[in-house]
Amino acid sequence: MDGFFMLPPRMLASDSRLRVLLGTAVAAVYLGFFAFSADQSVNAVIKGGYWAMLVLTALFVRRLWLLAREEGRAGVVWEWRQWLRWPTGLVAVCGGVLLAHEPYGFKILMDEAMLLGTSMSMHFEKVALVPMRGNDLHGAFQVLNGQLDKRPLFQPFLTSVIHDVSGYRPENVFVLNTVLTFVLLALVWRLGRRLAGPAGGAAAVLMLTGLPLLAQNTTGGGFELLNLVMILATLLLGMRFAERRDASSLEAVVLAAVLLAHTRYESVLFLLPVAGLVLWVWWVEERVILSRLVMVAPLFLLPWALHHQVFSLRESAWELASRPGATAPFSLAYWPDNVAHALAFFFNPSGAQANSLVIAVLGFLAAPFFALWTVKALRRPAGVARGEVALAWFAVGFALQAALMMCYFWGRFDDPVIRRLSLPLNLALVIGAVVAARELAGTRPVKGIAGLALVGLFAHSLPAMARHEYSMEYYVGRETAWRREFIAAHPEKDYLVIDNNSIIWVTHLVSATPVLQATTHKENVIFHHRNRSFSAIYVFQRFEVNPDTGALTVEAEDDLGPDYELETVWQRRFSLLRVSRLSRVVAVRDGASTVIAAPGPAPTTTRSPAELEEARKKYFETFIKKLP
Amino acid sequence: MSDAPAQGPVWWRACGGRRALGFAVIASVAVWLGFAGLPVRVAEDLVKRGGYYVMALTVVAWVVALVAAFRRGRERRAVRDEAPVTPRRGLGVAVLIALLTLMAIQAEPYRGKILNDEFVLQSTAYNLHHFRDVATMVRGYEVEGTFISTDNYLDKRPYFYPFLVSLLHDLTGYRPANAFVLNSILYAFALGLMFRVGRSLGGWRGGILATLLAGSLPLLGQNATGSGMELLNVVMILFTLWLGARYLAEPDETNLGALALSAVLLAQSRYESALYVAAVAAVVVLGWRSARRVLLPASVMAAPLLLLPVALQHRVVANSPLLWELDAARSERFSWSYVPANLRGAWAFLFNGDAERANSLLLSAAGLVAVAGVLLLAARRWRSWAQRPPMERALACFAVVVFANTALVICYYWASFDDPMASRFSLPWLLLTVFAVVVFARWLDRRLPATAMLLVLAGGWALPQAAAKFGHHYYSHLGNDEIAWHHRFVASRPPARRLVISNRTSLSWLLAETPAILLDRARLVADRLQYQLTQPLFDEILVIQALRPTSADGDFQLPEEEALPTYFRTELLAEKRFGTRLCRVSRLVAVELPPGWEPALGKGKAGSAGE
Repeated sequence: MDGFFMLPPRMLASDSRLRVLLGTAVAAVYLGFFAFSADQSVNAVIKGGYWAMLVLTALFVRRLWLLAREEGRAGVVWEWRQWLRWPTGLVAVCGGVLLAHEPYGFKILMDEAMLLGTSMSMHFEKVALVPMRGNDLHGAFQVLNGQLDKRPLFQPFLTSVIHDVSGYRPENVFVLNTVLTFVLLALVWRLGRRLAGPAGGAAAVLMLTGLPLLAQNTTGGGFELLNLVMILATLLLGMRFAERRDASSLEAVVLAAVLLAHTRYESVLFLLPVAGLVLWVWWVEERVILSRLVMVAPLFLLPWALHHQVFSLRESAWELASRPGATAPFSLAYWPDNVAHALAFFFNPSGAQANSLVIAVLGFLAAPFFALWTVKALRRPAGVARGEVALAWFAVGFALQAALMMCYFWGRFDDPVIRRLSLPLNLALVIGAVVAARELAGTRPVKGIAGLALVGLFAHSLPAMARHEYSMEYYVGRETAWRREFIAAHPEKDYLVIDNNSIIWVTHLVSATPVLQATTHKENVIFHHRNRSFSAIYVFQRFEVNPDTGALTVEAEDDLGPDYELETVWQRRFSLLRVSRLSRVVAVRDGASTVIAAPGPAPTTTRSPAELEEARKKYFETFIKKLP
Repeated sequence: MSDAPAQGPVWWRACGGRRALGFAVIASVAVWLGFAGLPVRVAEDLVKRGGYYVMALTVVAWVVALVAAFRRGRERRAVRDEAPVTPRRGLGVAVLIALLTLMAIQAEPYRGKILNDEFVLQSTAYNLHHFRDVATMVRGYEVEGTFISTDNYLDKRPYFYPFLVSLLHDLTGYRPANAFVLNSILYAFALGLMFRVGRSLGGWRGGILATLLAGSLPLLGQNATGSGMELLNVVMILFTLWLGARYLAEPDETNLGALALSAVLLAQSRYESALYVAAVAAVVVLGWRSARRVLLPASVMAAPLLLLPVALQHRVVANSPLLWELDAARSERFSWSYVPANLRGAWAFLFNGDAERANSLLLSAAGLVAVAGVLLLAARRWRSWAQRPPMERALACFAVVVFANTALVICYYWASFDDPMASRFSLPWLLLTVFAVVVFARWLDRRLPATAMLLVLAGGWALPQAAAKFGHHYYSHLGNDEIAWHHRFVASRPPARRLVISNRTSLSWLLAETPAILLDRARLVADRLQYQLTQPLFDEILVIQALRPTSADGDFQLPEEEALPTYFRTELLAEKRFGTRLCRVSRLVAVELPPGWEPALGKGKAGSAGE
């Protein structure tokens, strides 16, 4: 690698295209981080985020299409032949196994509800907002206000495309994740095959199938699956670029990396290995490989940079309050604690942690060998297959991602909400195990890994998936499923729900408002209750159970106060000392009087159509103003 | 037969000889019979009792003519104005049309969009299916297990669409949803035809552009989940246009036969589509000029007679002012005085920027520019008119009629396009603008990549915007939400024999074979309702009403037209808000007629047969 780091200045002096690339990079940094205020940046993402994703996705799909054409008929036929044998069956069966054990549902609150909310606004309004309030005004459900979420936009965009084509329904995100499950396994097989032949593909697929955490996410509404798919797609395209070293392959890997950066917060880190790979290829080739599109590619990251300003605008976006004592989102001080929790996750034998013992044991055994192989591949690239240099660069990316997680204030992999952050590391361990086995003695150990993975799948993973304690222990997820049961049982969706988690209702096209709104603006609830704007007003509350007496005490944040007279409709105990309840508002006390939904109309008086229309307009104005 | 050389003087042969004379006689007789020769009552009876059979004959003849034309075209490898579609491209177009169709069909529930148009059409289809009568139900009751239309009338709406729905009923059994299924199929057909015509005009990319522009027009997509006749009209215009181009490419009796019968059916697809007979006549004459002889196959000879029901129906409607649906302030259906407001409404609709109207901003803007551009091009190329491709010549003939059609609509009393009930009248104009964009973009392609840019705009901007509009479909909430809820609510109750007293329409209930009357009638027949409460014929009598706010604070009241007299006792079953209205379904508990109450209808014994 002598002279590698001297390469850019030398090329910069001799190649005008490189100067353009540098110019767009500087422009992107300036526009993304310095040119606009946080408010302006966030507004730009709200209004332009959807369109930016559309353009990037269209460019990526077009590039993939052109790559397929470049491969020619023979290449495509050869690829098909590889698939037409047992791999298709393997991927289909393994995908089915991953999807079979848990019901579809929104597993992680608020992540999945927020992503769904953004996809909803992207579909209905073509803006990147999470709807906070929404109501049926004239027959159509209208979002009244919302805010930009901190989560990247690629997954909500893809979900919104499904909404666009097949109509809005929250379950579309499950369709997306189901499709991505099979795509992920197919990509894993392809990578494994490239690294260690068909046995490598089978070993990688079987190891991942034995990861209950993956099964949990395949039936959820999160963006983890897409993140893994994009990591693998970028890696495979990077391997292609390392082999072919042409502009079209470069375009493909760059676009994949840009979309990966828009998939999960920390996935932007993978831009570093991609950049390293590109520079390495230039250095080896002693020429700059660039296309016009890649020259302006830094500008494609502008949405990411502008979106990042949401953290400046809302300090609470880091959610530091959720971990008492945490003062900074990232710090080396968190490292020891997080490592201990990570080990507790990876090596938990009970199956309650959604981990895979096969991945943990084989992966961590292989890790030192994989690290050595990476160093060797980077120091002496001629000693490995051309494409595998890309894998070495990505190994650095995986390491960076894992290190970042260990510095994260909430990076405890054994926490039910945080486990999913270990998915890229699990993927890296699978790849590392396959590479290390191959390096040890060729395909026989790889076949052994495949066999072990199969044994592990039946001995440890499948019972764990069947029990899916890791999903059940997170009672918030079960509560969300219960809310969805309630929605399914009340299909007219003409009611109002007072619930601090209003987003899940709004994304299911049910009018909802937080408890605070109902207590501070009681007069609005009274207005709509009196005028029967909603067929019913329900309240979602959590109660703490007194272990000695069994008495229920409403949690402070769910307390509506003494003015609301409630009647229990549904109630369920989700954890030992916590009961969730859905009640109907029977009456609301307004000072001395009690307001109930009026039982009948006032006597008919003669009014002209114009008078009725005038009254309608005035009422509608008040109606909108009084919406809680 | 007609290929045989005519005999006689040159001028006689040039005019088509005996066949032309025969055609003139048939046409004259048809015009006389249709517009003057028969009394209105006879005309009504003829259409009601015989309309179905004339329509069936026309459709059968059309299908036979189409089969012959396509078979002949395949044999001859008919003059093609473009390269054949490769399997990969064909698959691509099929996928695009499937996705666009899915987008439109999934966006909205199957539900009538325009009150009462669509219920009337479905009701006509009901009678065509069950009794072969071209008639719309007013009342219907189950008698000895059979639901019978006891009172009906000849509606003003053309009945080709009801005929096709009745055909579906015939083949698959009666169910109101057949009307929606038909429209979903027609939507995919319409997009396919948009591609076909666009491809003839602007090549492969032109076809895709036309499909995308049409697929991103919510007004067209809205109809894919409705039960109106708009999509059939669009399909018939496009199909007839395409047949016209085929005929101009190969002017012979077979192609002309298919074209002529298609025109007959197009004339029966929407009221004003009878105008397109003029466009087809112009195309026919152009074909005669190309062929240097007058072609008059049997189908053309019969066409005036097949159009006779259209004329007779028009006669009945012209003599039935009640069917014109004029409001109290107006006395004429068409007038110059309506033009300014309608033009303002058209502009407001076409260039509306929010999600509340079913327009496409891209199509409106590009279309207006393109129409102006194409008119300028046409003026410059007037001399080389005869050398233009067949599709362009056919389109020119149809374009003149679309202009006339739009002008006619603009003079109509209820045609402000920004009224969601009247937006659909703009469809022919919007179709024309699609093709104008394709033609003008192809011309511009010599200077800049206009078609490619428009493809990107249509696919990358107009289509996502349309998806958002489809999602909300604000323009479809026109009172049918309430009716759909009434039906859902009643369906959720235990099975029973019911009579429904409705505030909006009785037709939706009659289509579901549930007896229904309107509130007005209920007031008139209070004694009969009182009698029915004592009889086991109906298990329950439901009353549907809607409260309206009378002040900013609500103070809901029943408006006078929906309030029943105080001697009707009801019990509230359910209530639901729609916008600012509170709809309610109640059960009639008792009718306590005051002393001296006199029935206004059928003064015979209560419960006896009467009006």
